[in-house]
Amino acid sequence: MTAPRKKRREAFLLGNEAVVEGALAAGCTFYAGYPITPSTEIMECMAKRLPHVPDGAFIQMEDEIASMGAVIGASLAGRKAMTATSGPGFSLMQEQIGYAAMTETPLVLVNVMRGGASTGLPTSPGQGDVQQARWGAHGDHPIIVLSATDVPECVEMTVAAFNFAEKYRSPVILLLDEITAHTREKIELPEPGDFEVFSRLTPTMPPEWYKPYEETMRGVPPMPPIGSGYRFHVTGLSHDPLGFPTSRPEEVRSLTERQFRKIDRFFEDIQIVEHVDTADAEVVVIAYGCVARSARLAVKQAREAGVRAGLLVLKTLYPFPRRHVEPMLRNCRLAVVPELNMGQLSREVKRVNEGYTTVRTINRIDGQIITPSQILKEIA
Amino acid sequence: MAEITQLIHQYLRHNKKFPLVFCPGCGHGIVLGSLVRSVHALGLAKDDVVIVAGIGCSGRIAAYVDFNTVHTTHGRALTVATGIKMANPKLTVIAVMGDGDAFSIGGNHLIHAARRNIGVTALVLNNFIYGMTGGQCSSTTPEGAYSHTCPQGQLESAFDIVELTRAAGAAGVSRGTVYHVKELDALMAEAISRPGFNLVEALTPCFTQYGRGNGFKSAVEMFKWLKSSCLSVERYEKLEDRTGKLPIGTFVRRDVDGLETRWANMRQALAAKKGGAA
Amino acid sequence: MTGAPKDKAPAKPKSATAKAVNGKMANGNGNGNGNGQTLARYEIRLSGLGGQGILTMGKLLGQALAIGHGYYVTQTQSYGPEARGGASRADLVVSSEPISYPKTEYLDLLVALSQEAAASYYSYLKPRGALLIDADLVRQSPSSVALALPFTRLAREKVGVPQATNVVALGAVAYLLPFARIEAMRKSLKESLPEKICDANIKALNLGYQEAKKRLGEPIALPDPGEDDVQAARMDLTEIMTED
Repeated sequence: MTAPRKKRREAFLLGNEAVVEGALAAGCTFYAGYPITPSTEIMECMAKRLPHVPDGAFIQMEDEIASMGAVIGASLAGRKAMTATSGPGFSLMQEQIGYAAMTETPLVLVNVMRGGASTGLPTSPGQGDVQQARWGAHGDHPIIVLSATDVPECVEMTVAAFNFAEKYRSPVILLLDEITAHTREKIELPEPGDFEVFSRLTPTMPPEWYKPYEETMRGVPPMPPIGSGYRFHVTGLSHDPLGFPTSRPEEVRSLTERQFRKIDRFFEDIQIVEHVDTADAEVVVIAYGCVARSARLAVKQAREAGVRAGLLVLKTLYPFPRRHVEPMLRNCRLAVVPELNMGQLSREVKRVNEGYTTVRTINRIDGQIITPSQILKEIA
Repeated sequence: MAEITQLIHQYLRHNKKFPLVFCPGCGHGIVLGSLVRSVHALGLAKDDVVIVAGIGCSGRIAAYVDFNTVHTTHGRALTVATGIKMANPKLTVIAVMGDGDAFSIGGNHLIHAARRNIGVTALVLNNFIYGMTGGQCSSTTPEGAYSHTCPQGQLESAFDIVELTRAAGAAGVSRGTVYHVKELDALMAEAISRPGFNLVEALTPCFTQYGRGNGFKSAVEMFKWLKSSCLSVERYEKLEDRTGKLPIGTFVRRDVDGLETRWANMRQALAAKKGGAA
Repeated sequence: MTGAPKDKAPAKPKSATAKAVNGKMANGNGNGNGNGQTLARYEIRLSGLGGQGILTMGKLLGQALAIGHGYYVTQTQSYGPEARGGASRADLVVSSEPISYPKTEYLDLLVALSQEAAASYYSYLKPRGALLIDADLVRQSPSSVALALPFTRLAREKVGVPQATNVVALGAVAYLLPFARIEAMRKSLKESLPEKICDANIKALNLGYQEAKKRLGEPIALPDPGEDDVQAARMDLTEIMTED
């Protein structure tokens, strides 16, 4: 037994409510959004909480495009800002995701995935936005995409999302699904000091020396809040180190390359995975979100039935954690990728596979979760 | 002249390449000058002024002025401006947009910004045309006018910007032109000073994309047209025959708090209630 | 052991007091004879119509079991687009171990407050699972061994608040579940409900508990945890062999 510690406050919360706890623990003070099922509780909870948070601001915008615009504005003004959406709302946000990536504006976007294309299945789970999260905005741009499997993880991954956004000056998308968002579980409410919280670096040089998009050691230039004396230009056009539009090939190239490099160089920090019984596994299940929970039970049952099964839970989806996936593919005779779509993350697994092993997919698109027995069938 | 030079040095960016990208005869440079003069007249610190621009010719204005400048996506300037103002109400936030920007693709944002009266000044440069993409009709192109996307003449009617914004609830609505420069300076200074959402429509000719296709022989002729057809709203009201005439001046003056102020007041009331209860 | 490598020690559920079947204190990993406190995986479905407070009931029960008792609980829900009148259900999985699969598969307890719910969900009950129904609203019970109480009538006549039907039923559930404690339920209620409706709801909870004690016999006996799990795994594997 460990020494008795102070009794912590516990709460029985929805995944969506846990996201809010995580966001506030990470220092979020700004929320703009537009209600949409099944993400709405995030917004409602923020509307209740932010008026009591020091400097907290909340606004319900006229649509999801506007929500992202307001979040970008708030972030440029120095706030840790977020929005949340689902389904069609996520499609509307793509334009501004691209703008945030291009202008290197930190923000967190929680997308609670529902079923189907278009209006689809508003109250059912899906995982059909994985590729959209990576490539939804036009043009080459880096992005960080995270996911969470259960309610306590909703807190942890939201904190991680804010930390990555601030550290790498990038929009970060947290992909949840309707089940994770609408499951209630007990969490310990975060308290100050529970998490390491990172805030964007601000410039230390005098304003006249500051170049907002200059190459730095980390590839991430410091970012002052608007109104702090550093007057500079922000644009979604390809820009030079001063932020002014340019079409000079060498300037355009170096901008895009730096934007990719600033993420690529820190895979170790960004790529979060969880290994469950993978050390001696001959069969591996690669899963994320609510499906990872089914996989956990399936792998346990398979072990009990004598199959050396393991589970790799991907909590970072992009940049795709190749260095975790590839060794699994080399060492296992079978890899199974269950997801609530027609095969989106499995494309990445197959891309990395290069003939090492057999990759089998389980795809479910009827608005129901993939059950443990469905997975067990494929691995036993 | 010395005063102009001083303003140039004080408010335009030294590290930005001039001349402006605008075509000869374009009115946008005059609006830029008006913007600088009104900020100067109000004695605002450059660090406290944020210009948020959209896409189009008007959007390029932001890059030249030495304020905090944000060049956003097409139609979304007001959304970003809203976020900035809510995040830091001490800043003076001016959204510079074109007619396509503000009333076509960004029309929804505009009416909602007016309805919620966020403390932002919207400066709309109305040239009746999409200039940067090469002359297509916008939602302010007059009925019957020609453009590349209405080569047989515009069949749709144009938005009356003033009436639209008035109906949406804006605190202030005004219209000026690049011919009536002194008046435009004053309208802008007034709009920037008034709490809540204020819109200034600046009529600015586009000879290249609009004038040439619609019977104007030169840019000068377009300025003359502004001179002859625009008159103060007070005089306009007294006219018997208003055909071909356009009123300029301030149309709406409402006394409201900006949303950012109402938000701050609500927080204060909450804190007081909490303090009282404890 | 799949062992979710989370640094939280599995919460140790406190002993149920008065009504513990064998009266023994649960002492963590006892002798493996399932003394009514260590739960492998216990699945509950609360079901009825939108507007009956099913989701609130699920939240109250889950909160009491998760925070008051220290079990691992996942509560999921299913609802139609209608705010009122459509089918509504809340599912809970309760366990002493971290829960992997959050949804229910085979129910240990089904509470049905409408005819439709009883008919639709009865087939999800385990062979020895318990069915608790509203005696008035479920006219045709799908099982002859259903436990029945007139929750809606009790709420209307004895509490005077028809909207408290769900809490009367919650009281009965608190009695029937051998690992639940009524005090923890009361606490969950007090913490979650607005003050002005709290008294009526506490009354409803106590009423449901007392009525169940008077009229439904002994609390539900728990299945042997160890055996169930292995059986489930075997069941699944047999299924594969036949299907392939």
